[in-house]
Amino acid sequence: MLRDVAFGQYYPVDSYVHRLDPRVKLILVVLFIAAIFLSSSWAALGACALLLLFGVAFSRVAVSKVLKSIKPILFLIIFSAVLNLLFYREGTPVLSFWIIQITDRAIRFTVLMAVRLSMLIMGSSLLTLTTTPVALTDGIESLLKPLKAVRFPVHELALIMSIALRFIPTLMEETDRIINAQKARGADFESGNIVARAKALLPILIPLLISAFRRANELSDAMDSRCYTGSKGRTKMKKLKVTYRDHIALFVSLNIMAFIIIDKVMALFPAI
Amino acid sequence: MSIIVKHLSFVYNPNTPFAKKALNDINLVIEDGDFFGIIGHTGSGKSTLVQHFNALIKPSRGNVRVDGMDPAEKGADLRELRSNVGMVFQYPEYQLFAETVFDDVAFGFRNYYKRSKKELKRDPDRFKAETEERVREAITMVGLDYEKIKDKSPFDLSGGQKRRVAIAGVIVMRPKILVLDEPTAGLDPRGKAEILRLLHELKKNYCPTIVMISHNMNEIASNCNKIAVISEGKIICVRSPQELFSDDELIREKGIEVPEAVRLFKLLRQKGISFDRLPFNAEEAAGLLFERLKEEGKYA
Repeated sequence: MLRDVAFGQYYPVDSYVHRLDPRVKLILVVLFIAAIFLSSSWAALGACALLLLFGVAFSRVAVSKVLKSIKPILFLIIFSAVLNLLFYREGTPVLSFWIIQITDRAIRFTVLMAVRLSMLIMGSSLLTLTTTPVALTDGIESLLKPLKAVRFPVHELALIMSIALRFIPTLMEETDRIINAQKARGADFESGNIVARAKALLPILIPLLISAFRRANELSDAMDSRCYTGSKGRTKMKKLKVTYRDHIALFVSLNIMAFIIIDKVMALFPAI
Repeated sequence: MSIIVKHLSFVYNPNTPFAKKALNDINLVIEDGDFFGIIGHTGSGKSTLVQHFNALIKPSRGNVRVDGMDPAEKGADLRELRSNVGMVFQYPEYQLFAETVFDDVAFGFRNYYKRSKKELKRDPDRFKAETEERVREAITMVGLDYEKIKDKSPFDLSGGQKRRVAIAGVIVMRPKILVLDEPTAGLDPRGKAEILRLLHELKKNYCPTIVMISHNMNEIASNCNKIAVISEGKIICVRSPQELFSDDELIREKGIEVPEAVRLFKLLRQKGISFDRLPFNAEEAAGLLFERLKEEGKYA
């Protein structure tokens, strides 16, 4: 069933991390990603892992959920690991046969990259697991506000995003129904070669496209009839507010990140 | 051809925080020749239930037997089943996709025919002729003019016509049971009446068993011989329209809407004028009243 692929995968529990301001969470994720790629020592990576561990522990999201988020890019991780292992040529060889040569630095680099990638994905999924799509768009809109000064249509962008997010489940459901309806008429999506399978998708894609256009028309009519004019003078029902929780989260995270930066600087200038 | 449902339960998104029990221990028998109505509030599980009838959904527990066969069993011929149990979804016109009405209606038949591919290669002309015959039959059956409509784009038709074409696209497989989910939703009163007339026609000449989900009590009461009331994923009861709408307590308890004619006759009963049976539409009501007046000699 398509419905099982929960988009945005929001995990509906109430927790410390869930209650954080989405803006703070967005900033933290960006900083976290930067920190991951700054970390080149095991101590620094350990600090990143500690931060991630804090996040997961205080989010009350099932650990398996967070781990599962790696699944879609598992192939990518393995693929890049193999390439790194084989083609990283610096360092002293520890294993060599035929044309393959594996060095100690290659092993170190491979593990480092794999750990970085996994943590990157887990960290960003923690954001989508604990933040509703609506809160996320609100956060993005608020963070992008300074761009208004250069006439960037921030509100419109946010509106487009929230409409898109809002209609994903609707269109999923619609797709589900159309698939079932065509299946009921004997449609077969599983057999045949690739051309036949692509062709078999037409009876789903065409009705779906038509219905998307129909919904777009209806929505724009509905917005017009309620005198929607864009961002000017518009207020928010749920105002974003930074609270003590956000301060604590920022404080802890920034400390850990400071450690990572110091670690990096020490590595770059060993003389200090 | 009959449908027997035993201890059927179904859970959406099992083992996740979104898990939702849609059906809970459903037992049901739909016999050959029934015009079977299913009523219930939005989200009560009606649509989920009927999608089990042709194995679009597999039960979480329990089983469904169609003509003695369990579609969840290994090796069950799903294509055969789906051509036997035709399913018309809500707003079926939203599933139209082909360039011409002909191709859209032919879709189901062509799919069904695919399994005898070798035969098809041996005699493509016969396949073509047969397709045309079946499509003509289906389009005529839903009350449209085959010659006039076959080359039109389905998207150029009116709402009522689109729905007929969509129904034709299902009955082209010559189903023995036709399942319809809210077949008259979103149509004007005339379109509604026409679709219902069409269903009676189909039942008489084409597929002997019809299962219909509807919110409209007038439709359900005056067309079905059995009505299942479903609430929160459970079957509350299966009754004839007379029994169901006579049961004031059940109606009150489950918040079942009653047909207008029934409401009128219940008011009459409060005024001391009672009848031994209920009418379900204006004609029946008029007939009963007319009879009574004649009996009492008030109408010559």
